[in-house]
Amino acid sequence: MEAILTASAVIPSAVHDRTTISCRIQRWNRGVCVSRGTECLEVVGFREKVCLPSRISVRRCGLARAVVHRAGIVNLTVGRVAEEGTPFPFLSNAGRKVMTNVSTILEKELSPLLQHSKIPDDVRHFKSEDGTAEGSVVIRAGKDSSQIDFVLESWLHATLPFGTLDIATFAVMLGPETDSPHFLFEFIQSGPSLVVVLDHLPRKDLVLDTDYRQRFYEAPGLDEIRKRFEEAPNSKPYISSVLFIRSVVSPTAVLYKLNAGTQVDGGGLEEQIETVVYPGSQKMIEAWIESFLTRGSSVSNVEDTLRRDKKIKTFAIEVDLAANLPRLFGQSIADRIVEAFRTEGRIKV
Amino acid sequence: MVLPTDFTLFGCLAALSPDQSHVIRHPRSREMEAKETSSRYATTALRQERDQMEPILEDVDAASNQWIQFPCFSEAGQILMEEMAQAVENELGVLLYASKTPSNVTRFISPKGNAEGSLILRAGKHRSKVDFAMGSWLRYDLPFGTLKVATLMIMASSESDAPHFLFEFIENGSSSLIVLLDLLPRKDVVLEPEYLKRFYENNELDSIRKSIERVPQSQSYSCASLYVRSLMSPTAILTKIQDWLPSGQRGEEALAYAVESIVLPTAKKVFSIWLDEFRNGSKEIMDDIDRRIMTKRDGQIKRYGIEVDLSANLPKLFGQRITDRVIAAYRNGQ
Repeated sequence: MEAILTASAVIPSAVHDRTTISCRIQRWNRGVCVSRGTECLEVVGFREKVCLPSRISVRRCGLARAVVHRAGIVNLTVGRVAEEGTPFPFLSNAGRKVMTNVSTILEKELSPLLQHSKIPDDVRHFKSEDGTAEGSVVIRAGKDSSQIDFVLESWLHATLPFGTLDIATFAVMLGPETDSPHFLFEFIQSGPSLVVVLDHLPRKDLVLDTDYRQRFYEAPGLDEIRKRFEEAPNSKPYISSVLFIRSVVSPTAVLYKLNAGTQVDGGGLEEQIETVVYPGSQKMIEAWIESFLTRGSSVSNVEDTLRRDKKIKTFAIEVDLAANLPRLFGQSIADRIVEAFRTEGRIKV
Repeated sequence: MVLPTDFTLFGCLAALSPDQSHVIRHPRSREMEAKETSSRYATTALRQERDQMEPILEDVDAASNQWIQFPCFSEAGQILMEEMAQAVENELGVLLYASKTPSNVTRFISPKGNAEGSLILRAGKHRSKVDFAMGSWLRYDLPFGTLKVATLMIMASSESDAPHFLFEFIENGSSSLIVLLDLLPRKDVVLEPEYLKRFYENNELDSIRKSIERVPQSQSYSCASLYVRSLMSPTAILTKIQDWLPSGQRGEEALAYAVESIVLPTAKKVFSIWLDEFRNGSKEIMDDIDRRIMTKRDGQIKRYGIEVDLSANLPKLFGQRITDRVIAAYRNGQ
C-alpha cells in the first residue's frame, strides 16, 4: 500500500441499497479494481469527483471496503488508519524505517541529556474535526547542562484534494553554550514525490567566520552526503519558495525532491527511500552527533547567538506553523502546538 | 567532453608545469625582457630598473587599460561580456577612477602559451558607494578543449549596504556554459531578515531565477567551493547550459543562441535591478559597530572568495611572479 488512492467506479444499477463493495488496492499506478465478492466490476483509474458519503476502512493487507448507497459514480477514497502507538503511522514501511532509525540514534546518544517530555497529550496526538488531518508533536527539553535547547519529533498527515501529504520532522536545536550547528531533517511525501531536507544549520554567518565552515562542513565531508542525493536517479534540487529557508540552511544542505521512477511496478520511490534516504539520513545524523560531541566550541558572543537562534525559531513558528496549521487543523489545535513550541524547549521563545 | 567542473571565482586548473613565465610586453620593453630571461632571479638593481620602467609602460598602455575586453571568447560570449562591461562603464563610469592596473596584469600569458589572462580594476572615487569595479578573464587549454572564465564584479563600499554585483560566465570548451549571476548580500540575512526583504523579496530577482530554471537545456549547478556557495544570495542564478535547443539544434550555434537570447537579457535585467538597489534601495550604515562588521565581512569576501583562489591556482599556470603581481594589483584595488 503506497499512498492515498482516489478512484471512481461505475456501480451498475443492479446494486441494491447498502451493498458492500470490496476494493483490493493494488499498486497505485495500476489503478483500483472494484469488485463485488470475487467478481471484478471494473478497473478504474484516478479521477476526482464528488463522492457519495461512505465509510471506509482499510486494512494492511490491502483491502478496503466502501458502503455504497446508490448506483452512480462512487468515489472510493482509500486511506490508512493509524494504529495506536505506531511511530510515524502513515508513512510507508521504507519511510517509517528511515525515521525510526534516526529516532533510535538520537535516543541512544541524547536521551541522558534530555528531560522527560512535558508535552500535553493533546499535542502529542491531535486530529482535525473532520478527520482529514492528524498529527503528533513531541518536544523534549535539554537538561540545564546539556547544551541542548530541545529535541523535536513530529509528524503530520493530511488528506487534501490532490492526495495525501505526510510530513515527518526531526529537529535538534542547541543552546548558546556551544557553537555546534542545529540539526534538521524533514521528510515530506506527497503522492509519488518526496522532498528531503537534511542539514546542519549554521549558528553563524559563514561569510564572516571561515573557520566555522572548515570545522563543521569541510572537515566532516558533509558535501559527500549531499552529492549522493544529487546523483540519485529521479532527483532534482528542491528550492523552497521561502527565501529565508534558503538562507538558513548550510552550503552542504540536502534539499532534494525524489520522484518515483518510470518503472512499471511503481516501486521506484520506496527503493529510493531505502537506497538513498536511509543511508543519507543515517550519515547526516551520525555526523551531526559527532560534531555536537567533539567539534563544538564555546560561543564568543552569547547574546548574538541567542538572537540568531531566536530568529530561526520565531520564523519556524510564525511563518511555517502559524501560517499552515490552522488550515489543516483549525485554530485551537494550531494555537496549542504553537504554544508548545514556544514553551517546551529549555530556552523559551 | 571531459572538463573539470569544479569552479570557484576565477576557475580551476589542469596540471601544467609551473614554469617561470613571461608577460606580454609593449615592444619598448624588449631590452628588459632580454635582461630577465638572462638572469632568472632578478637582482635588486634589475628589479629597481624594471619598476622604474613600469610607469612608462602604463602611460603608453593607458588606452588599453581603460576597461576590460574579452578577446578569447566565442563571438556570442565576447558580445555578451563586452556589452555587460560597457553597461558597467556607462552606469558607473562617473563613480570610478581610470584603471591604474599595471599592463603586466591587464594581460599575462604562460610561457607555453597554453594559458592567458587579464585583470583590470577601477577604484571607486573617494567616498563613493563603489569600492571597485573588476573585470577579468582566464583562458586555458585543456586536453579536450579550452576553458574560458570571464568575471565582472562590482564591490560596493562601506558608504552603503548595497549588495555586491557578481557575474561570472564560463565557456566549457564548446559544449556547455556556466553562468553565475548574483547580488551578494552584505549582511547575515538570518540575523537581519529586513535586508532579505529589502533587496531580494520586493523585486523580480526570484522570478528571473525561476525562468532560467525552466529553460529546458539548463540544469542547476553547484560550486565546488563551499565558501563561494555561502556567499551567494537565495536568489542567485547558478546554472549550466548545455549545447542543445528544444528545436533540435545542437552544438555551438545552440550555445550562441542561448547566450544571445537567454544569458544576455538575463544579465542585463539583474544588473538593472542591482543598479536600482545600489542607487535607491541602499542605506548608509550609521552604527559604527555594524559598519565595522560589514567592512570585515567584505574583507573576508575579497580574501577568501577571490584571493585565496588566485593564490592557489594561478602559480600552476603562470608562475609565482605573475601571480604575485596579479594579487598585488587586486589588493591595491586599482
